[in-house]
Amino acid sequence: MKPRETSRTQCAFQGALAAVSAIGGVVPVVHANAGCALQGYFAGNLANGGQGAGRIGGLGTPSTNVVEKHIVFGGSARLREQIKNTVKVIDGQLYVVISGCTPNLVGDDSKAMADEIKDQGFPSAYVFAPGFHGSAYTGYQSAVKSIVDHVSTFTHSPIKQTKGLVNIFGLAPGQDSFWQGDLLQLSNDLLSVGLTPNPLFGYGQSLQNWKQIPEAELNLVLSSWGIDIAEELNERFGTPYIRRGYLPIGAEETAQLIADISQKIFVNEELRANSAAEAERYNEHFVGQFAEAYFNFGFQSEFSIAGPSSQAIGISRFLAYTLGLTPKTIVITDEPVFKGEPVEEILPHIEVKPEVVFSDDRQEITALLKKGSPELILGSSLDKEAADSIGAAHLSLSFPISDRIIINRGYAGYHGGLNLAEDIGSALINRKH
Amino acid sequence: VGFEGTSRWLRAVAARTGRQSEAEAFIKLHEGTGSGVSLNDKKIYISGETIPALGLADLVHEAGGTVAGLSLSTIDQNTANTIEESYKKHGWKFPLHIGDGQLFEQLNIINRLKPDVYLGEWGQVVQVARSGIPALNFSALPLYGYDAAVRLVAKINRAWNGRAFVEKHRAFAAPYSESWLIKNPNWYIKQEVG
Repeated sequence: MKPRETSRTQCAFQGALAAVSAIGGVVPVVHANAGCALQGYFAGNLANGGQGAGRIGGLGTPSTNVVEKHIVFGGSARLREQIKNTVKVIDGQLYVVISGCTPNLVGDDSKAMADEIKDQGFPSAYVFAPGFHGSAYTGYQSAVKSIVDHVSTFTHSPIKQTKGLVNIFGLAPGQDSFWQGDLLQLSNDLLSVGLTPNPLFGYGQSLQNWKQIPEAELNLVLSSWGIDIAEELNERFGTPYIRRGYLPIGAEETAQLIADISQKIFVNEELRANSAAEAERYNEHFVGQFAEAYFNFGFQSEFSIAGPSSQAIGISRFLAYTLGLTPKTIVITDEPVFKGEPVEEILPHIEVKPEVVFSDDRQEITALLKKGSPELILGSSLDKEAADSIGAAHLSLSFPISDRIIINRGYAGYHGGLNLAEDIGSALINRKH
Repeated sequence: VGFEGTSRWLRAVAARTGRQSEAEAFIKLHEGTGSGVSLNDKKIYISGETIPALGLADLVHEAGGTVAGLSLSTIDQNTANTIEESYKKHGWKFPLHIGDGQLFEQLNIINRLKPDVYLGEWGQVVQVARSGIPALNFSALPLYGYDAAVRLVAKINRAWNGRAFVEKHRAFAAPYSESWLIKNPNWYIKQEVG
């Protein structure tokens, strides 16, 4: 494997910590080096649109802060001590022990320590998440799987299914920069057709939502990072799933997604038709207004994009199919699974095919984004310099993001496309020729 | 405007400043600049001020496109000859539309001609795009010189490649009635004369 310079995908530990911290009432207990949780705060939170770390996260994350003596003599006792102290000072519905690199290298039995606390009446779970285990997406998957395992112990056969309940997987908190806004927008869209979204992370989500996972009628997976979970849930509870692989952005993609959902579970046809029609009217109205700037300022541009598959694909499709921009190079920074030729799967109906490359190496990404001098570069804050060097407009959309603030903004769903159009239009009119 | 236009202008300036050899060297350096870009027989409608519009028309022909129609803001003694020369040079048969603004007339004509791309100015482009024709505001772009010519051709191609945008938002077409769009565009003039 060739070395990567300035990877824009955090490690498995950071992915797991961010996921656990994004669930209300769930308390992470970090068993890792002093500094690991802090790094998560600096990267996944602050260098990701300045997002907050939640009630129990960031500098408040309970951590064993493993140092040399715990490597030499083992750190299990330190973890035991930390768990005991944590349950005394932080109220929680679930304590999730997350073990990082060094405890796993020296063979600490972190799971046993997590189990121990159960005997004292505190619910606990354990996530094996050494950074070397994979990317933040691997960590996200491990965290989800561990908590699903925990909540499944409360599930008794036969499972009482809740009609219309849809779990959403595939967007990793702390790594996918717009995870919270995207989940909110998609949840609203599912609500508009009478379904009950279960986004699991972010605003209003708690352990209670996770306990409902087995009752869902459908699992929706919006990236390559949730398929394993969906397959497991299918095996354990018989829940069908839809794999999207990318974010549905704009009225057309969202209407199609809901139409696909209606092929799997019952969706009130009248609500579905009304919701799609209203979304189309709404989008037409505002896109019609956006057209004034689009044509007067000449937004018809070539763009290159770098980002994780769910976003890079979703955004490229929206820009090419709806806004009429021309994709030049698509750099995918995670490692998604494609069945066929990636470009055919990403943009099947397009005359001028873009180049699709998989890379998480800064130097290579910089060269790819600059290739052919596109007028617009969409990527992370790391790519601003590349954009400036060729006089291209630049917009930060993917981790790390240090030049804009993200609160609840999202690009997914019926109305997310308008947010994207607004941001891209702003970037283009600020372009320094 | 355009490759030939730029060379012609450089030679004219050089002739008056005695720098012919420098100009020829510069022109030679840019020979073939336009060979990498092509409009691939696209039909282009041009609307704007007379001189830049005719320059753009030259560029369209140079880049392998055709001019489908022309709307100029004014015609007078100073420009009539230039317009006539362009008609002869390019062998145009279409009638010339003169109208400062008068977008309803342009849309009537465009509706018949169905060009691939419309090149126009601020504001007009939006209304034309709403009728489903890819439109480009050339007045917001650099027009003069070799590099600008390359960029203009690329931008016209991008407007065409991105026609998904206009096709999807035709619902917001300019509010001209079907009955107007099938009338003679000079119908109102006749009414006034009558």
